[in-house]
Amino acid sequence: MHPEAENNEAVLIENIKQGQRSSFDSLVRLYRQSGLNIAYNLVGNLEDARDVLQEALMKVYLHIQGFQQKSKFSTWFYRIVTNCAIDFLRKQKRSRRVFVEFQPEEEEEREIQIPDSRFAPNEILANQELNHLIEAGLARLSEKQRLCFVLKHQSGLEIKEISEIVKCNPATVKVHLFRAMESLREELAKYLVK
Amino acid sequence: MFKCIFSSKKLYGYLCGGLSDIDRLKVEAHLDTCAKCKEKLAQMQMILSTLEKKAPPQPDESFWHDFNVELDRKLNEQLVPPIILKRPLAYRLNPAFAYAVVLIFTLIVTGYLFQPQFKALAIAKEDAALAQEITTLAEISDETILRGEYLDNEIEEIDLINAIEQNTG
Repeated sequence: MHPEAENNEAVLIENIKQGQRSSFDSLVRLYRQSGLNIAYNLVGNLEDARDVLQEALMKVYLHIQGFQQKSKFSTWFYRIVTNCAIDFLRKQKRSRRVFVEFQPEEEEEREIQIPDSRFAPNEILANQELNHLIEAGLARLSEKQRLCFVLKHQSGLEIKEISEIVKCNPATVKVHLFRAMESLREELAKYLVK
Repeated sequence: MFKCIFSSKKLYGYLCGGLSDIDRLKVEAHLDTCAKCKEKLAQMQMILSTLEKKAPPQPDESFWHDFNVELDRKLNEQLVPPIILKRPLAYRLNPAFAYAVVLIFTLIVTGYLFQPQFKALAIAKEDAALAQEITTLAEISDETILRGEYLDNEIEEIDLINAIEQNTG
């Protein structure tokens, strides 16, 4: 992050500690999209991701006094979002990723995002089916493996940051990532035809 | 056919760019000769590319406006709890304590109301004791009177006898 942006962030955090809600609104504007992405990748749909993100932001505001700025704010915030998502999934007592249904508007959005006529409909369908199979495969992974895999390959976080979020060392994160990939590959091998 | 024992972990590392230069060259050299590992790598690539194509949601401003309104409402609920009217004191007391207070109060009121009667009862008891004492004394004096009469009679007899003796002497 740019040093000036980091300084601004530090100022915002200090103001929030003093009770300034306007500074909190500014911080929310900075991190809401990335937080929503992580929540969405973990819980599987926008409505639940919104609830998870709201809960996480409430916890940030209520516990901001405990944030000592020893680590980056993004790491602390993403850890809260991840924990809220895990708690949400545990409460649901099922993995929503298996039962994610295609919303009609998502299909329309997807078609709008891929206007290129070279893509044949059956290729799009194959991609969607593979997506479903991957989602189902991810649901069968252990919690740590799924978490590391989603944070790395869907949210784009670095291994060091993931290790701070899930509270294990980077070598363990790499092991989780490899085992997750190997499980998915073995499960989907028959579908992954060249 | 030889079974390939090349580490799949190295293939994954090669795909994610986490290998040293030497290891990367080793993997590339192996891939040139092993169709099975090439297939494994292709499968891993397909999985990752499918996940990358799945775009995260990009909600519009109206979504974020509603989001902020709801977040503010939830924060206000947490920070300023609603006013709750407390039940009257009597209903909040511990029941056992309440019963004890009522019992003590009842005893005090009862004592106050029946105080004259208790006094009358005490007086009556005193009278009864006094009456008993009087009766006892009366019995004693009756006996005494009778004994006295007996003595008087004896004395009279003695006097009479003495008088008779004097007259004859």
